[in-house]
Amino acid sequence: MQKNQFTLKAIAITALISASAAQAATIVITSRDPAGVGFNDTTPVAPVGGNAGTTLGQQRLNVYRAAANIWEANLQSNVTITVSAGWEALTCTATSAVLGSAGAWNIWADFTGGVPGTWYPQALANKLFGTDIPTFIGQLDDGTGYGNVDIKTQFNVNLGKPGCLTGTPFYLGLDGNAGTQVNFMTTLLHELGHGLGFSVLTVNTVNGSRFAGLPSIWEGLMVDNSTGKTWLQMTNAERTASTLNFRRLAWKGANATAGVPSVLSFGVPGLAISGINAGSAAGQYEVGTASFGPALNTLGVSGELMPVVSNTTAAGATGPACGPLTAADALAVNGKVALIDRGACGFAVKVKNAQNAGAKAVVIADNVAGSPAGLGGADPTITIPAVRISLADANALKVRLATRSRTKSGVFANLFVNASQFAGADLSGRPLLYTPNPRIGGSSVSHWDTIATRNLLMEPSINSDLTNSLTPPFDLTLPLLKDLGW
Amino acid sequence: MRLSRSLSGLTLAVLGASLSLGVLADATREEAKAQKPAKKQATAATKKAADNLVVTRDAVTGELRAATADEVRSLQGSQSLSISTSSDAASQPLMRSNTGNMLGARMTDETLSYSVVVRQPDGAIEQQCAQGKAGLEAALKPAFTKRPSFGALETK
Repeated sequence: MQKNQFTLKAIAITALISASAAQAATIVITSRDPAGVGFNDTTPVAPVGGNAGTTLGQQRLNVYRAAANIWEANLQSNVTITVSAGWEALTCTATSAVLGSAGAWNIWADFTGGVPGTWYPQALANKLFGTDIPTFIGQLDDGTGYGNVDIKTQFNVNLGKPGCLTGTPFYLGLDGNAGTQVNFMTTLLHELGHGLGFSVLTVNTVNGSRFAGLPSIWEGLMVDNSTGKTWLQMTNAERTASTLNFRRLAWKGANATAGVPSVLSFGVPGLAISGINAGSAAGQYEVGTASFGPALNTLGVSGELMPVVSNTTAAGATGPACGPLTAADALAVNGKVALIDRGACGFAVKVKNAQNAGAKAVVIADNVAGSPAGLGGADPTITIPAVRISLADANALKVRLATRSRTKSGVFANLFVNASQFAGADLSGRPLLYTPNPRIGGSSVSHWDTIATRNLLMEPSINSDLTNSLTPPFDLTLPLLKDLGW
Repeated sequence: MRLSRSLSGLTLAVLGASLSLGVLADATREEAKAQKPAKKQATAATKKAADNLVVTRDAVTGELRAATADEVRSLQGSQSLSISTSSDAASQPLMRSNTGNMLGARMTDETLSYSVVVRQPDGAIEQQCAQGKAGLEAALKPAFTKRPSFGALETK
């Protein structure tokens, strides 16, 4: 194995942080690539987006170094942070690819400086312990050459080649102008964030169990708003349930919470249910918003909630509200908020038919379990708002609607925007962690919720409008890491 | 005692050749006092299997000792199984310890965070981060992009 160690800490960055050099972190990247591959690829390329490298390998290295520089400028540690890096042939097809991976390669518990009986990623453990733990205990390498590193990374050497997300390579510029390519800089920043500690780490989110029975340092800062419990206080079953508790799992760390007002925007769309017949269904519901019709606003649109019950329309079409409403349904929803089941035709079709029958708004009841996604589709003639609610929430409402007349239900709906709640935070202003239901491909819990506005680096999706900043007013990544002890 | 509490029931693979099995034995000395015969057997097993650097908790003495070949195979088998059933670190890492009672583990590729990209039917690229190798299969399917986003793309 060729080892090509490069500690190319930029002179400019060094000068910039010289005032606090004793505490600023140093990140050393060590290549695992053989000659001619990855960082050692000598294919000539033109400089791009502030990356002055003239070979593919050099440009890849420059991005790694630039990302490391950003982390160095934000973290304090007297112990060098070690990253093993390699470019490898990872899984891909013409239309999908594993871009790469990263993570803490070693973890520690019960070291001086840490919370007793608690797992930490090695980079953070080293910082808190004050020296490199593997060196301190005489831990030998495992023969790989990178066994004791803090973070292991690898990225797809074939991306963009035929058969591997064909024609869409990594963008190796440093300026964020990735266009239709994959922004490697942002991707690497994100993945290094996981390796540094932005992860629940050792908790199995499928069954709630803990590695060796010990919690990770994350767990005391994760609080479920439904129970008020942190993950430290939960059973395995409760942790499992919490991973699926849509937008109810918050991060209670003081630094991240303090950053919320300067990073996130006010305004969370919702559905409020009230009325004399609402009973236990009264309250505020999570919604998915529509890509058509007017946007919700703080004033809201209110009306009595009435269901469309016929599966056959006046024109003979099959599917709830998939054609002109029957006379009975039209009478029920005229001047009201229509509750319509999803299925058989497009959302926009249903909403338009309800609008034609005189409805002032529409609530689409999902027909599959899970948290409410948005309503796609387009129809510029739609003038009433619409939202989607979960199947579970819809079923609860239908119980209350079971006792109604042809024109009255006693259950009232208000489609609105809560202007006093930050998009991406709970009602207490604590940032929300990602808890989709059903669980999404391993993304749950160790990311910010996707509702966050502005977009955040550590959301599960890498958005094109991200900056390379880790701090408020642009991002909450560093505050969360500081909550952990960074 | 920390090791007794936290490692109960686990099979441990020691990664560092410098690790002192004797130290681990010291950690559980008190609880083994009443079972000296079994402890002797465990110590013998430790010496026999010292080269493989895999440690397990003896079912009789409760003490950490070197694993037998069968136990090593069992460990490897359980790792393979866990890879296919979990996306989290909890089932993957190998354990080690040292004289200061620190606990450590080396992770595996199965436990890393993976960045995945899928080209949608409309040509758009959607990028998602999935934790653990087990999350990759779901993440690589175009359908995964349909549900999680606020304002997702379903039209019916």
